[in-house]
Parts: sequence; C-alpha cells; structure tokens
Amino acid sequence: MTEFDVFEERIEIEYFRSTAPSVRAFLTSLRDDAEILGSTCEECGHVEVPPRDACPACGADVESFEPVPSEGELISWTDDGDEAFGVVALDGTDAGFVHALLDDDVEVGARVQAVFADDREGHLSDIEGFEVIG
Amino acid sequence: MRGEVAIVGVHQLATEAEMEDVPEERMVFDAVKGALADAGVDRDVLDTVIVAGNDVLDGRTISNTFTAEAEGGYMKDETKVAHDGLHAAVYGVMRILSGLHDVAMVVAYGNHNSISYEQWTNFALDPFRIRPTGLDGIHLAALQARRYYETTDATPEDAARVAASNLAAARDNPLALRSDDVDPGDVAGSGVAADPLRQLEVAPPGDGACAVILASADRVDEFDPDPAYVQGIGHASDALRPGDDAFHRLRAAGRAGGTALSRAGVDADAVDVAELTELFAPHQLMLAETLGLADHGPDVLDDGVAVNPSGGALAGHAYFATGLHRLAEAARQVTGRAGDRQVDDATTALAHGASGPAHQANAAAVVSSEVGP
Amino acid sequence: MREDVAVVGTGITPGEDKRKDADIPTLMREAAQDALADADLTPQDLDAVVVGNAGEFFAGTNMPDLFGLSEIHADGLPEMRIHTGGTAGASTGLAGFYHAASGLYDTVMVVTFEKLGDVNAQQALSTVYHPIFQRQYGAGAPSAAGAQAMRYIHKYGSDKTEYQAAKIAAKQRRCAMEVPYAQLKMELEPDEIMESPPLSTPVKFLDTCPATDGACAMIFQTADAAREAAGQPAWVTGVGAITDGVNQPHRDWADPEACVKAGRKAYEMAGVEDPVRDFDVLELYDAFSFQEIIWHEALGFADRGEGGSLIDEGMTTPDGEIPTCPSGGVLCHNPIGATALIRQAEAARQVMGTADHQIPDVDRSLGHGWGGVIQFFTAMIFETTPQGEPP
Repeated sequence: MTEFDVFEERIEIEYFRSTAPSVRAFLTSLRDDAEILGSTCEECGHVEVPPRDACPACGADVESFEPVPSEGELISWTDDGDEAFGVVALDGTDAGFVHALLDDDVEVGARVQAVFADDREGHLSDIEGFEVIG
Repeated sequence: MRGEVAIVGVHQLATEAEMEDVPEERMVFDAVKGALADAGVDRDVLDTVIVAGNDVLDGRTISNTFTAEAEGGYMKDETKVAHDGLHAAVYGVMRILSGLHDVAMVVAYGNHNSISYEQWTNFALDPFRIRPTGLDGIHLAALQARRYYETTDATPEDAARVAASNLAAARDNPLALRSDDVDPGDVAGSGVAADPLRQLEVAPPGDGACAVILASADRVDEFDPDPAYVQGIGHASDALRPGDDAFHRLRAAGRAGGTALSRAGVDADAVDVAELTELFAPHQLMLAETLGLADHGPDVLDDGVAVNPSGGALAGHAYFATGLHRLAEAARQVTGRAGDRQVDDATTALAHGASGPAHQANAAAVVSSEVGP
Repeated sequence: MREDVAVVGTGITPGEDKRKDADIPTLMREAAQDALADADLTPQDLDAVVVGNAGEFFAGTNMPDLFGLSEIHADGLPEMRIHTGGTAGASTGLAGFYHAASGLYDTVMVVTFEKLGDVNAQQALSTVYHPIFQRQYGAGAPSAAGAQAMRYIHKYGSDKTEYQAAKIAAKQRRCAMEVPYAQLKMELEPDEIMESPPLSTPVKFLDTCPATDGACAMIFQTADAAREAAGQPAWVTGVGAITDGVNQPHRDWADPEACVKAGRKAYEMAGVEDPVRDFDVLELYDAFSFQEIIWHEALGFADRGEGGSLIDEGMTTPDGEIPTCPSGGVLCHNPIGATALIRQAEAARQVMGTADHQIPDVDRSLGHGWGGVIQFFTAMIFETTPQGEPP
C-alpha cells in the first residue's frame, strides 16, 4: 500500500420531492385512517396499489382513489435472516403490494393482513408489516 | 438487418473484486486499446463511440465527461447510454444500420468503489411506493424466484445446479472473477442471501470493463479477426410490478430475445450457445424459458443449448459491463476464440444483458459466424 | 441514410422553478401525452421509447427512467436511457432519430426531463466535478461560463462584447413573452441586464439561465408513417455530434472546435453551404447570453471575433435574417436534461408551423446543444422536405 491510494468521500444530498396526487392521497390515508389506498381506473377497472395517477394496464389518467382491503393472499416472500418481505395480493386489487412480513414462518398462499402503527406520520412505515391470519 | 453489421474486435478485462489503483478512466482505456489492438486498427477508423456507465457507481454526475477521451471519443461522435453495455451495443448497431456510421466502438465498465449492489438497486426503486421499505435487488430477485418456483416445476435444487455448473465452467475462463468446484449441496448450504436465494446463487459484484468494435459488414476485411455477424438485436424494459406474471417470467427479457431471434430469422433451437445475464441462479432458468431455449428451464442443464459456458454473471458481474461481457463471449464462441471453454460447432449465439432491480431493462443480440441465412 | 425520419409531434411542459404538484413520472407523462396528441397518435402506435435526463443525483433516483415507465406508455416496450449531462436532451433526441433511421422502429418517442426543484441544487451540482481535483472549488456552470466569456473577450472582444451579450439576453427575454410555457417572462432593456448583479464576471445574473422543473417529448417517424401525418412533418436532414476532451490543454472555449465540427457534420449531410442564407431560424443552446456570440461564430454565421455584430445589426431578432432563439431559449426556460431536446423540438416546431413564437416561412431550422464541461456538442437540422428533396 502506498500513501493516498484511497480517496474517501461521502456524498450527501437532500431531496424534497414534490408528490403527485396519488402519493399525497396514499400517505394521508395511511396516517389519518390507517387505510391502504388504491387507485381505480374508470376506463378499464384496473385497481392499483399503491395508487398511481396513470393506469398501468390501459394508460388512462386515473383520479379515483379509494381504500382497498388491507388483507389478502401472500403470493411471494423472502427472508434474509434480519428482515422478511412479502408480495401481497390485497383483496380486490390487481397489483402486488410489497412490504415487510412480521412472522417468521410463512408460506405462499397464506392470508395476511396489515398491522398499522399506533403513531403514524404519513409514510410507508405507518404499516409495520403484514401478519399471517390464516 | 442480417449480414449488415459485424463484431470485428473485442477486449475484456478480467473482472476483479477490486481493481486497486485503477480508476474508471484507466479501465475504459485498457478495454478500448485492447479492442483496437485485437482488431488491428487505430482509433482513426472509429466513426462513433458509445459508452455505458452509471453516475451513481462512479460517484460522479455526467460520468462520460471524464471517460470520453479514454473511450477513444475525442473529437468523435461520442455518446453515453445509461443502461447495460449490451444496450449500448444495440444502439451502436442502430447507428451503423442507419448508414451514417460505419465503425462503432462500444465500451462498458463498472467500478463499484464502495457502493454495494444493495444500495445501488434500492436507489433505483420508486422513491414513494417501494424504496422506503428498504428492499433491494437481491430481495426482489428472491421474490421473483419464489414466484417462479411456486408457479412452475422448477425447484431450488435446479437453481443450485445452475450455480454449481456456472462456477465450474468459470474455471476455464481466465476473465472470470470467481470459479469454484462445488456441488449443488454446497450451494444449498452456502448460507441464506435472501430466501430462497443462497449466497452462491448471487452474482458477486466486481470491477470490470469490456469493449467491442462493430463495423458495417462491407468493411470487415479491414479488421484482423474473423467477423461475428450481429444478425438480430432487441431490447425491452418492464415496469416493476411484483404482482404480475411479467415479474417472474422476465417478460422484457423474453421480448428482447424474441425480437433479436426474429430479426435474425432463426428460432431459439438454432442457438448453439446462450450467454445470459443471470444475476441470480434461478434467473438463468427463468431466462431459458422466456427466451424459448427450453419449455422447462432446468432442461438446459442437461442437454441442448450450452448456457453460460463462460460462467455467466454468477462468475462475476461488473454492473453495466456485464451484458457486454456476454456479447464478447458470444462473439468469441462463434469465431472459435473461446479457448478452453469453446463449445464445439458453435455458429449461432444469443447474448443477453439485464440491469435495473429485478432484471427490468433487457437487451439481446444474436450473433453468428455466417453472414447469411 | 437508410430511412428518412421526421418529427411529427412535440410536447413541452410549462416551466416553474419547482412544480410542487408533480413528480418526475407526472412531468414525463404530461410531455408524452402532449406529444402524442400533437402527432395525433395513440400510445399503441409507439414502437420504442428513449428517455433522457441529466443525472441520477439530480433526479434522486438511480436509473430514473424505470420508475415512470407505465406513465409514459413504455412498459414492456423497447426502452433505453441516454445521459450526457446538459445536452442529454439532444443526445436522447439523436438516439430517437437513430432508432428510426436504422429502419428497425417506425414510431419512436423521446422523453426528457429534469426536476432540480426537488433537490438541494448545490449538493447535487457538486457531483459534476472531479472528486479529487475540482469538487471543492467548482462553483457550478456559471464559473465555467464566466471563464468562457473572459477568454472570448481576451481573444477577440472589444469593449462592446458585454453590452452585446446584454442585448442578446434582452432579445431572448423579450421573445419569451410570446411563449406560454417559458418559465421566465420578463421584458427587459439591455441596460437593466448590465446593471444586474455579477454572477461570475463578466456574466451577470440576468445573462444567466434558470433551473426549471420540466419535461419535453418528441416523436419521430420513418417516412411512410410520417407522410400520413396530418400536419407538416419536420424532416431530419442533418445530424452531427462531437465530443471534446476535458483534459486537452489546447482546448479553447472561445473557439470550440467540437462545436465547429458537429455543425459541419450536420451541414454536410443536409447540403448546407452558407448557414446565414440556408437557415431560416436557429435554436442555439445559450445557457448564458455570451455563448450566443461564440456559437454563432463556431456554427459559421459570423467570422471569428465578429459574432457580436449579429445582434448589433439586428440579424438575430425575430424579424431579422437569422432569428435566433425566438422561443426565449435556455435563458428563459431550462429543465436541464430536457433543454437540448427543447432546442430540437422548437426548431422542429418552426418547420412544422406550430411554434408559439412562430417565424414566418420557415423551410430549414437548426437545433443546437452543448453539455458536460462545455465539451459535448450536438446539431440537428430540420426541413419541410426530406433530405435531397427541394422545399
């Protein structure tokens, strides 16, 4: 090793992201109502969660945001030893919702439901994760 | 487009865990100089230069500001694709097909400094809807793999066989970052990366670079190597939709490959060698299916097309250089320059590149030693 | 050229320093939807999409094209991203052109954006500089522009140059009054610009571009499809791009060799011999007013050292012989990664007859861009008829 063979640097950049209506509505719903909001396309009926302002199925503008059930079927999961994540097909929606799993022993096909935090700020972490209910 | 564009020079740096004392510019320079030497030509012959690089990896915005000269791009029509090197090659082919350029240098590199693959992929996720969960590309790959196992007959044992096979193949590849003599049981016992992925099933990141020279077919005689004709190209990107079938079927990869094959005028069964970007072992099985190389992914382990004789990405990936490694390998295979890993009678090869979390952005090329059908 | 290619539709979002109501996918979508409507096409008509912006650190997302794919109708389509800093918009436009000119894709949409309003700009911009040699000292693009202007004045400038730059800035700002999407609309006299505070001597505050949240989309089609377009297509008859090297010691920002060469390549392709005579309107990438003088010279509209005379003689105002930046240009609207595409889009609009500040009787226009450390140069020429055909 010679001197100065490594040049250290730390890049720190702060972001203050403007949000689209779907995101505003989604975060508000998490904080105020402990509900997961989805978006419903008036053209083709596709229900997306988390909500988006354009329909991923047909490309139309979407302006309708409604709460969706916070439970559904676990269609995939992973566990790295520290954290577990799952893809949940929430009932009545056409998308897979990705979030933390709270149980150690899960199987694809399990019924799971969201557990909300008591203190919520309008952030994805307002959902602590999903627990198995059956 | 068949018979119109050829690969006439290739140089790939050996992928290393850390290239000490080697900044990005040097890696690019060595790759480009090597390709020019391989082709037996000077920089003067180049009409255009396309680099594939990533600012986040480099820790620098507008990364090609600093690499342009090393790329051979000084006073040339030089540009940068912010996707995998195989996307840059696809763009290079388009430039030649347009008739406005005859010779293109395509160079791709990845020098991962101190950013991890986990950070790099997490930073690519939707900042509102997924990134805050802390998920990264390895978790997403695990979610894809589990969906794949649940919906097909493929099993984790098949993925373990892929890892063992690729690591063994890499022993014949002096350019690989790693190789190993392991059996599927060792893979299964290598510790959990993110279940169902095992550590040995995750492509290790390294520093690497590769350069490929493309030329209009009517100029191939000006270059030393036997040409490998690029007979078809394709590319496609999928939005990240973990609930859709596209997620575990790697739909965009299938479209990229399908388009390349269709343009080349061949079916998947004409492919002798497939060099695929399998950043995770199960993905090689998924790719085999979506590309039409096998109805049942694990079948490629037993017969038919040779998949990843180089060891693939599992033998070491270098971010955006990885897909170009695959193209370089495909070119070597069809021109008999693959050394100890040469597949007998290889005349047609399929190269695939992927980047982004969950293999979202894909490119493919079909190369052949024969100019016509 | 294998295929004749034309622009058939464009979309430019209204500029604000911070679009508080929209995120990046929303901005991209607005531009994309506008371009599709302008071209009278549907998303199903798209064969490929190319995305560009000026930096992952600016966007706050790695590979930022991927998270808005479905918003721009690109989910599942051939898609790639181009990134060359300030000229990313033009490089992306060139990529879109090549997708079509290759003969492989008939209808190609290019979408570019920037949203610096979301980030601490100083922190983000600091990542442009070389980490070891420059990062602590780089004060951003204004210092480069100041050095460039100083160099020009030293080499050629008379005591008129600063005022000529102020007149150019006033011209640009007056033009923007006619352009609804332009972020900055302020009618100013050259004296007011001269009196504005210095940013990086001799460049003053009002000589300088803003940072805008915005997007631009443009749709290319190959000939058979373009001929079916309802409106007048803008045929691409010349393209050129050249990269200079940051490390070349003889590089002279007052005489940018790469800009000269990029222009010449495009001119040769389009059969342009006398730029002043052959062009009807120019959209140059004047991020700073002084640059217009230098770009006019490099692109052959004036002799070396004479570029400032164009504004003095009234050649470059909207009613002049070579109107330059009737859109108001970069000085009035600058979503960095989109800005160079906007130069191409405005040049195309002038040929299509759809520009907000339309110059009468345009047959041939030029869209120019630069990026990096004033090192990447691009040029795209548009005409009312394809290459080789009379107007």
